Amino acid sequence: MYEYLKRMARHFKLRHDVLRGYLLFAGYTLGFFALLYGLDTQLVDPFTRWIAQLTRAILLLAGTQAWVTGKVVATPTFSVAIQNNCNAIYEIALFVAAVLAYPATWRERAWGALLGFVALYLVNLVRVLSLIYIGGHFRQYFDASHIYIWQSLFIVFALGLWIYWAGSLVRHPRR
Amino acid sequence: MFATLAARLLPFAARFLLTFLLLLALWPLASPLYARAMAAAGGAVLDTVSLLPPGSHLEARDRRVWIFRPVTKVDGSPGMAGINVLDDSTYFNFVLLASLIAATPSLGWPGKAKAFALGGALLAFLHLADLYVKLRWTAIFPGLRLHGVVPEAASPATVKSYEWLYAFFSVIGFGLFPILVWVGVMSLWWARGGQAPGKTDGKKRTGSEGRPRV
Repeated sequence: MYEYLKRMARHFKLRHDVLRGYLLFAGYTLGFFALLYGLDTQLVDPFTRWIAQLTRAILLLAGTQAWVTGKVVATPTFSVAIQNNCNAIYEIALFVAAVLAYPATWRERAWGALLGFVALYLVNLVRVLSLIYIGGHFRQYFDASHIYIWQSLFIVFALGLWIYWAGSLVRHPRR
Repeated sequence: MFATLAARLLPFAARFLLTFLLLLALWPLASPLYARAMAAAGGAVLDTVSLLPPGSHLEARDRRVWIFRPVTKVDGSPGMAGINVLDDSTYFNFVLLASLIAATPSLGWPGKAKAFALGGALLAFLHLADLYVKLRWTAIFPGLRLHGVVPEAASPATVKSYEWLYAFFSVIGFGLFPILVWVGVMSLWWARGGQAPGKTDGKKRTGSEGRPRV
């Protein structure tokens, strides 16, 4: 199978290390997806509930009344249910898969994974808070902001972060 | 190094945002057209390869693609069910792909058009795969009984496989697919030193000169 893929890569003039990177990325992505989806109740649900609690804490700090029921954050004007597409965990997994698939030292990969986790988690908090604000004050723009804008910008942010990590922070790519 | 990279990333980000906002404004016009095209082409393709259930047809309504298919109700009587199998929150990633290609540096507009034609075809194929997975999952989903419909017979392994496929497409597909397609199409072009998938902006480039500077 791998020999066949290598022949295909030669046909398309793809370098061997690029093909290897794609295959590793595909493998890590499927592995992480299986892990997260398989451990939805044990891992993803508590992670999402924690985001809901943190969102509530930030809203309270900002002087806004807020309540949490499970994965639903409610304010006097709006409420949102944080689902799998809004908890960033799968995007973090994709980022980590891309970091692990890139030729770097394990130390650089560890820093990359940490950087991605922290940055994506924080940006996702901003996403959730901004959507609560938009839902409460500009209800007509909520769906567009939620479905079109934030989903797209979030994944492009993850891509940009990976390019930054691969281009700036990885100093000794292993060939 | 950071300054150099930032200097390269910022114009890319600016071009991306500009294209994204422009296409977002046009999306209400383009979205129903894509739904209609996907219903027509998807229906024809699935029918040709015998993957469309007998007596079923795909239909676009506004921004969604629906399948109308014969079902058996829990009381044993026959009926028709209409189920949404693709909506624009799934295929909006076309805009993401188009914006990424438009923002790619060192690639002229003819090259971008060819990259988008190839990438768009790949992404449309993935949308069709998504549609098929939803079509199958909504036919064998055990919870259908709660809606008064008998699910089609399927082995537990098949049900599980489609559940996981459905989750994969729903949760990861939106962001993963356009980026994979973009990287894939661009790497074909990089591999040819900037001369593929389409000729670039007419400037002669060789080797790494033609590589995008992202």
